[in-house]
Amino acid sequence: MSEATLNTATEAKNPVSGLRRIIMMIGLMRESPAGMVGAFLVSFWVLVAIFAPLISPFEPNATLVPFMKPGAVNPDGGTFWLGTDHIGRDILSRIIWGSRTVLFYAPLATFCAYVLGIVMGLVAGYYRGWIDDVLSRIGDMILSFPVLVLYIIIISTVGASGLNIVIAIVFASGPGIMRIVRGLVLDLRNRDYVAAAQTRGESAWRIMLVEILPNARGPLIVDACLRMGYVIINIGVLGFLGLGLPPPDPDWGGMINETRQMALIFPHMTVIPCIAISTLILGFNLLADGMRDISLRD
Amino acid sequence: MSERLLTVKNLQIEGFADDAWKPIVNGIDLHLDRGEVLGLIGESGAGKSTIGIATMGYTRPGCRIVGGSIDFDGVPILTQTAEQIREVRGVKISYVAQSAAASFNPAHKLIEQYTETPVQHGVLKYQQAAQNARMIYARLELPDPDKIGNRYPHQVSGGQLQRAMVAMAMSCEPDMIIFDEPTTALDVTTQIEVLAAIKDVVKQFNTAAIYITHDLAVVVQLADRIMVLRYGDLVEESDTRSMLESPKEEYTRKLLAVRTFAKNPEPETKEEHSLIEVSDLHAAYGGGIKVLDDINLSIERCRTVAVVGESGSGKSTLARAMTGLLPPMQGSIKYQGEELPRSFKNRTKDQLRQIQMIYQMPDVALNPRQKLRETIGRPLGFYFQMDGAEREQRVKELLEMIELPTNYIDRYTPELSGGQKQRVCIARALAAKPVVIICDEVTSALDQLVAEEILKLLDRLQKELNMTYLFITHDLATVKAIADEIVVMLKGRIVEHGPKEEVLVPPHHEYTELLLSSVPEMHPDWLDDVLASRSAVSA
Repeated sequence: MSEATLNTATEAKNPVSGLRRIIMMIGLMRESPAGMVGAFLVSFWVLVAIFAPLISPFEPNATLVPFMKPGAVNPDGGTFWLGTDHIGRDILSRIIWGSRTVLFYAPLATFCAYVLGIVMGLVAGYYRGWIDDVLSRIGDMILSFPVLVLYIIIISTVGASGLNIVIAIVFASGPGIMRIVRGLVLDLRNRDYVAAAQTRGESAWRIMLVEILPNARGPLIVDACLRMGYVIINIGVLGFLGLGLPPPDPDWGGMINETRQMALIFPHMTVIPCIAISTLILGFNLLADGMRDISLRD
Repeated sequence: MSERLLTVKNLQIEGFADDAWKPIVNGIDLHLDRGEVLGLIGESGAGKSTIGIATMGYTRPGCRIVGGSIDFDGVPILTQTAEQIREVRGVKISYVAQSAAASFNPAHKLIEQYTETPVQHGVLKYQQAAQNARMIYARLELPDPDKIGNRYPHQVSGGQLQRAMVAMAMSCEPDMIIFDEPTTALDVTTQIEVLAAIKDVVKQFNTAAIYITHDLAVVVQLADRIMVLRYGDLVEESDTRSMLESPKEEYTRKLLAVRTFAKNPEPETKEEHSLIEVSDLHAAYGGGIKVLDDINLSIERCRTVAVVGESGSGKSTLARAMTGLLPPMQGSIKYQGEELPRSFKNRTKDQLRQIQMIYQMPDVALNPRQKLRETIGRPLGFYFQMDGAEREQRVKELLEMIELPTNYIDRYTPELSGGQKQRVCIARALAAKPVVIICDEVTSALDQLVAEEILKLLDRLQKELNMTYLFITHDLATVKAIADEIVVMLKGRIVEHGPKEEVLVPPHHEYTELLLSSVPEMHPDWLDDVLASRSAVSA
């Protein structure tokens, strides 16, 4: 064997399997304190959502004793650790069950927005030309609209339901994701490995999905994490405007809306869901920061 | 006369990689007298640049100096405060970087950047500095020295910019200049201008210099003394002439012998059709400026045709036109007597398979998210419907063919060195069982010893597999080593074309002569001889 190949043979690392890579990611995350806090907050809420039936002290929709302060004792047994609302529902239980709602719809909506955004971005960035012009102008039009107004128009037209919230978010976030993907693709499509695949005769979709997309995933994962935070805000805002999930199922934004007129007298009814929303969003933002730190390092 | 300027003792530098500090320079001793030029030579990773910039008390991010002492003109650099070092840098020591294009600020005029250092350090007033700039520009033979300073960096050529950077380094008349591969990014014909300029100013101002390069033939033109480095250790040190005459170490001998590889010429076989016949080819980017102008070329089976020219001569465009990546405006490319569609999109799978290409930058020619199994295996699956154990077996055979261990099949490409990556590119091309391989500057991103290995590999594969090569390069040494036929290109046109024995032997075309005479040779008087003969001709 030649000397040149021997020199570096000892330096190269062992191949990394999928599981080990996840463990490595966690190990790397430890070096970013912000990322650690974010990961903790997100996993806290994820665990709460998963174990909601086990840890929730009461039925979330059961009307028990209205206007109870945090820590008050239920005459029928149990404690309202975070108090009850104006119609007597336990706030802690509603927060716990509400985390299921937000952690189901936010990732679902983000994921769907990504599928749409990635497909549009790949097509626009790879083919360029008129197809890029058309897609980009459509995207610009949607992006130039105030997001909130857009949501209100969509939801008030098609009605409030889980599916419609997802559709609205996909419609409003897709173009933003398309722009990011398009920018990355415009750069990556000029790499020689893409030229190699083209002159091999590969189909355009294979080149986009196998050669280009995996190399764009770093920035996209960070963006997805940040975007998840915005989507949670938007779901909360829709709930607050009465355009969220139909009552009585617990929804953090809806909880704030229903009790806001009593906020001065019974602040716990509004403040607690606010804290829940904030911590979850903060968690995703810090997690995104941490991942960006890690991805910038190598 | 020989007053000691710089003394470095037991310099140790570490770099941070894979979560640990690892030594990259292991206790180097170095000294430099006033007016002396020291050459630091070695392959990438030898630590030569790291040592060079450490003499200014600076390390790149991710590196740290952990031991040793640096004494510059009585000043102990390593124990100085940042403020004190600022007094030295720029004024007494200056630095010329590899890529002038990347080192100049594109938003400021050349003369503003020239005068910044002396004015900032309070050495000269602006008017005086600008006056000096014009003098030095003239001395470095920049065109229109009185006005060129008013241009922005993008308004001058690469060689002119590199000379402007040398001028800038001279702005405070420093005691020492560090030249970090100042000509590596330049064409040979431009390199010779910059080398002459450096040699001239260093002599004129009696400046000491550290000249860092991987190219021994370049450094022998300038250096009084040479240090050969490898993996952060000193291999050998002696004055230039005695190193060339009697190198002591095996590694130095290898570096000296690096351009001796030459393949045996292939016998010409006349067939009915040439394998590839390019006729009357014109091409342009975006319908604008013509990059290829009336190219006619034929390639015979099992031969190596080398296309040589400077950057901008259109040689890479020719490769892109032949692979169909850049459909030509007019003209035809015939393969085995049959006309190829202009764009790769319209070529059949079999036509695509038979013409493969190897790219200049192995770093971007391989998908970093794929293992070698996928990179090399994909053409097998795509063209020959191989899968499972059969495909795995063939990938391993190809790895053996390119002299990589078969367990590399599970490696991702970023885990390989530059030379290994280029080998993988070769394997990927071979996997398609091609008839022709277009090699676009395949060795220019590699160290010389590694490049030599790649050339040998390509030569061996040609013999074993009856391969035909179109070899695109700016490096005449490579051409001499590997070509059967040579095509010389200038500004999109072919200026000379013929068998190697004819093109390399006088009489040459005027431009071929210029190219050939600009390739540095391994003896210290080469630069002076060439400059003398050229000025004799023009006089």
